[in-house]
Amino acid sequence: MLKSYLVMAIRQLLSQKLYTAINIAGLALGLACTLLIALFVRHELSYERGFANSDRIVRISEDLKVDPPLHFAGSSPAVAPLLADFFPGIQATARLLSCFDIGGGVLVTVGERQFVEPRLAAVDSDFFQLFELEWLAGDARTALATPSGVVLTQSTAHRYFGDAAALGSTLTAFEALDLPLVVTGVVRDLPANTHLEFDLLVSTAYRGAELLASWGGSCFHTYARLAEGADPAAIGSRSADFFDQRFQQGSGRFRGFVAVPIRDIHLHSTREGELRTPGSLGTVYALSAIGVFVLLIACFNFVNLATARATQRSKEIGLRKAVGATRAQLIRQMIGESLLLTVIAVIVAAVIVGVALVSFANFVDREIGVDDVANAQSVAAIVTLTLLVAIGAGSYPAFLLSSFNPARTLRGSVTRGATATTFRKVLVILQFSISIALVVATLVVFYQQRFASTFELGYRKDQIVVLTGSMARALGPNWVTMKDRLERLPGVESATASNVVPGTRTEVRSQVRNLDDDEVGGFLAQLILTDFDFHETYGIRVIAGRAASEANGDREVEEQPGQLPPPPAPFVLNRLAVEQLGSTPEEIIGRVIQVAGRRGVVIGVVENVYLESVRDPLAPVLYLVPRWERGAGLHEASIRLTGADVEGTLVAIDTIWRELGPNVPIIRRFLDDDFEALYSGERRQGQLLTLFSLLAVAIACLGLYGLASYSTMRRTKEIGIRKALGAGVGDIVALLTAEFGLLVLMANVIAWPVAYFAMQRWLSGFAYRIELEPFVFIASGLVALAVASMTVALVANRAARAKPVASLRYE
Amino acid sequence: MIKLTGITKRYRTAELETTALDGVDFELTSGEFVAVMGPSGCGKSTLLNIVGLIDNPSSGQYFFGEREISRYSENRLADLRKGNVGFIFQSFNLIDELDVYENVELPLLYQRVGKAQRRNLVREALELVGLSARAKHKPDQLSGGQQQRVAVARAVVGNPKLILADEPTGNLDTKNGEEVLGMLTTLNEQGTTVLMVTHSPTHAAHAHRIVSLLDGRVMPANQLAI
Repeated sequence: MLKSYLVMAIRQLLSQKLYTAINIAGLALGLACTLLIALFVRHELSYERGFANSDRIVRISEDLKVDPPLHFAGSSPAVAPLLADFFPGIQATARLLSCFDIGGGVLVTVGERQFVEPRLAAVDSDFFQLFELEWLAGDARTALATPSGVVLTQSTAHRYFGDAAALGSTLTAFEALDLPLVVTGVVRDLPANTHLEFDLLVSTAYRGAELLASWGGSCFHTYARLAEGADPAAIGSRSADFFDQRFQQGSGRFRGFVAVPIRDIHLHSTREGELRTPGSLGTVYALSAIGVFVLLIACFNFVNLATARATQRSKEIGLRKAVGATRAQLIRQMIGESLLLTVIAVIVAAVIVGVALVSFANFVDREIGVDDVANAQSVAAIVTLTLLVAIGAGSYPAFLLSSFNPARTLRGSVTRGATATTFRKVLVILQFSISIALVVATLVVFYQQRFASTFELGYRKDQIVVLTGSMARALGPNWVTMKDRLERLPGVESATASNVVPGTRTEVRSQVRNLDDDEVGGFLAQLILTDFDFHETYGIRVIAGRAASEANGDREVEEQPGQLPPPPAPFVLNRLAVEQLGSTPEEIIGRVIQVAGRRGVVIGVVENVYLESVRDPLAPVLYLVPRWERGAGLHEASIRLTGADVEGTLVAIDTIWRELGPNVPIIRRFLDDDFEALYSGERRQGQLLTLFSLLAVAIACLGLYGLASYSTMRRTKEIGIRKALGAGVGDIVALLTAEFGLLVLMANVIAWPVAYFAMQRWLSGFAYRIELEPFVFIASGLVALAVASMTVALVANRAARAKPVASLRYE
Repeated sequence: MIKLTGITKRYRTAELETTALDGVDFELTSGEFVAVMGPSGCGKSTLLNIVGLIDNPSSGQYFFGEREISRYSENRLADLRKGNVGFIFQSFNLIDELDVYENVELPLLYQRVGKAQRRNLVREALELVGLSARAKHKPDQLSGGQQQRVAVARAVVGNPKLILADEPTGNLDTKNGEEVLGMLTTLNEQGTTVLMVTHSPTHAAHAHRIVSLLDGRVMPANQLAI
């Protein structure tokens, strides 16, 4: 019996090749989509699960209860050693410090070669107790017992030493400390699904005891393993007590921390200073929804086509019943057909996934490979999905067809059930609602992108080259000469230096107070240390007073022991800082203020500038030329090019750097590129959305094509009559297109409100954003209508061009 | 008005080839009422279809007025049909979703006739066939005879030069059949050319001329196939 079902199913599918093809294509696309998204979602939800006891490991993250409150991923180094005593639920703790001293990395010298390592971290020796890594050489218990040990990951060891054994080899890092290190261990590379990221590990001991006992700063990532059953929330609620008792009575009012389970970090953390860019729960939800919707659209197609074919098969069904088939047998037969189709579609989908996997993984910036698909769990899931789709989509048509009355069908009077038609129309409307909503989302993301990238930032970011020195040597002792030489180059307009470059996120804030007016409270502002010509190079407008100029000696003066106190440091404020001080740009010139404990005077006010991304609101900013040796402490050189002969100018700049710059490798970048990177997340989201919108529309149109074909076939006789009466091709096409065009228009009614609310939610994550214009919604509706009309017109055109006699004879 | 010379029509399926018309010569003068008779399957309907411009011959020549149209494309034939030819089919071929008024109105819509004029013409046509009271009814609410009368109204509403009737009384009882035939005769007396295919010699007798077809060929006049 089973074999005959299979044979019948195959014949059935082959007898209607066009519709079978459409069905398989639509289902396969939908399934492939869902599979890829499922892989991504599973990856995102799997973070940290590779570590033993990951459900009991938390990260202690500090909060500063100021206005606005600050949430850090890390905590001050003094916290960790005191936790186990204070909290009975904490068994062990360890700190991790992500290090950099040059351009976001550490200079490592191996023999003759220099490397800049952005992923060098310092950890307590207990770190390996908390996070059990796979050791390929060396011993977890002793590897970092001394400050001179370094542990490499497998690929780092390979980079430095090739296939030779790394254990026992030497290298140096942290040129400021001239630290020679011995390789005391090699571990397997970290898996992709963890927030931890490192290529080299050294001991925190290198930082010195004083720093390790500090209560300031929050850049140490502090991990703790909890006892069985301990509650992370309980730890957080007692953190105020912790600070009061262990640090300073009263500090608990504005300092506290939260015990974040490490499994929650990847998708839920919005704290400053994360080791890796966290994922987004919003994206996971959104993609999951899209995956489900796209699959639904494909399933709707299946149901639609199958029920539309009911008229075709009614005679066959009636006949089978007349010769003895029971309803149950017919249902089984038809679900069998549905299953066969689904299995074929799954196979095609698997091929699509195989081909698209690498590109998709790159696209979402995650390491997802064939291994993630070819395992027992995945296969089981796919089989389940196949069955669900086959039965889910196949049931309704099966029940519908098997219910036909044999006498009536053999007589030929079952032409169309009114309810079936309505149901099919409802499905089409739903399909297009989903598609239209996706198109709206795509357009909104695109416009917000464009808004962000053309947003008037208040400074010029084009043609600016940034050269990075190192923390230890900054821009070198020859900076003044270098600046002079650079500015003489024909291709260079001006050059300056700073500790921070616009477009990079920083966390450092300084306390600012107005000394003349005690009523205005203090606030936190960003302090940017610069060299002269900073505002000029970046095109930041001065609206009152002046920018720091060398001629006026506008720099901080060092306090000399035994001498009179130095004059107040000359600060330039941005407009927002002036407002926070309760003053106006004109009034504030000459006012004395206090910044992070030092006395200062306001010499100028500049326009607000969006130093970060449009996701972040403006902050008050102060600019100061610091007291250090010119160039010292400032490690980012910004050079504005004229735009003429960029290639040649870059070569000249490199030459000057090699001659006069600090002895570090050239790390050069264009500011534009940084800026692009800032929005790369959004851009990728936009591209992903575009892709899925197109897919959704394509699948919906596939279904529409099939449906229109059937509808046209049903009306063949009518078309023949109309043609005999004088209808032209255009008249017939218009007739058939109107039927479906109406459905698409109705789909807008559902799609618009849904899309509106979803996109308002998304936009609320940006401090500066576009408004949702009606244009976006109308355009999406029109696009859907146009595409649907074209699809139906394709079918209608064929029918309209046939000879009337053919269709009249049909009867 | 119409002249067919050496018209042949062959149908090919996967297994066999049928010759529906074999070298037929046929002429129709303006104002004539011609009946075509012959046994089933001898090509009567095919001849009608070709004359009515809803099918092309496989070979031969067709002069519609001065123009030779045997190779015209479907679009051009459609243009020619408009306003020139009216059809009455054996199985009525009304559109079930439209009511009587809308069915009769259809040819006028395709000829882009204005609304007011359409209303007048449809009213006249319905009066001609005596169905003005049923303008809002759907086809499935009418008897066979009434449906055929609607078809007649539809065929004449655009004042075509030529009316082609394919077994117009085939599905009707005697009384209704007579009525329809009466209408055709009246139309012809008013100047419309009528070409009718029929089985019934009684009905054929209403025509000016009878043409006999047997196995796709026209029989000489003295060998009537009854």
